Amino acid sequence: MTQLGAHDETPPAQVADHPDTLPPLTLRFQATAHNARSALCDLRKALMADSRLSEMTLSTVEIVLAEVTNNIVEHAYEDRGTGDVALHCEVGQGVVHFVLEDAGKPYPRGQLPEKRLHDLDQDLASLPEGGFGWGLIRDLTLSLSYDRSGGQNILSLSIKNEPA
Amino acid sequence: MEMTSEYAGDLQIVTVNSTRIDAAAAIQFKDLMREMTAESNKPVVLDLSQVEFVDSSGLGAIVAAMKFLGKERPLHLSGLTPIVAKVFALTRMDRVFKIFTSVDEAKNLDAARSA
Repeated sequence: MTQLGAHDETPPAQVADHPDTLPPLTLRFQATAHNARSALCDLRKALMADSRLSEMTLSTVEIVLAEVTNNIVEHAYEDRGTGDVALHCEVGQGVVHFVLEDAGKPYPRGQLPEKRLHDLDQDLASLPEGGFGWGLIRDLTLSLSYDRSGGQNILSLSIKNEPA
Repeated sequence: MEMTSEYAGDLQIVTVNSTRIDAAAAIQFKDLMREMTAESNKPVVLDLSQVEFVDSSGLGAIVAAMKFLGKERPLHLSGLTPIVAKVFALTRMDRVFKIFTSVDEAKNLDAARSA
């Protein structure tokens, strides 16, 4: 299950001074589709407590992180079934930053996939049933970077906080 | 995941009574769609008004359902909530389906009866 806790490297937040701002947080879970869903629901609840974030931003976060965590479950850990995932989140000025860490397979050629453009004017039988994920991630992120270090995939991304 | 089915004239209305069609639910959604649509040949309207979240796996499962129903038996959608509508628009899959604002709208339109 998901563990909700303060960010490892961050001193305790001054919650009393800023009652509506969320301190950095980290969620840790075993990579399965159900745990990823629980983590997203926990994250949404936590982010709802930050009055700076609009409903539209929370939706964008959920769409992007669903794709990113599904990729970890389905691709990074496809050989061994599951493994550890850490999801770090920090709300900044007009932006929300995320770092995801897993110990699964690296991305092919050390690079994040591009958005795939589907030809939708084809036969019903040829319509795509997948390959939408990276398009959603790339369309909805402000920045996106990937690093492989110490046997870990480290994916950093940021999402703009849309005004309400 | 829970889904229900009813008939309205010459349409089959399949309603998803769950809030998410995501990677954890996609296979079950496909299986239930196959099961529930096996008993008739009527055009299907998939009521998504209770679904708050769809990811690319859920979207793929809805496309898969459209494909296994075949050319002669259209699958239309109704009642897309904001995040679901956003995912369909960003992936341009909103062009592939006929989308009604509600089941009532679909029932009242001849358009739902054709592909």
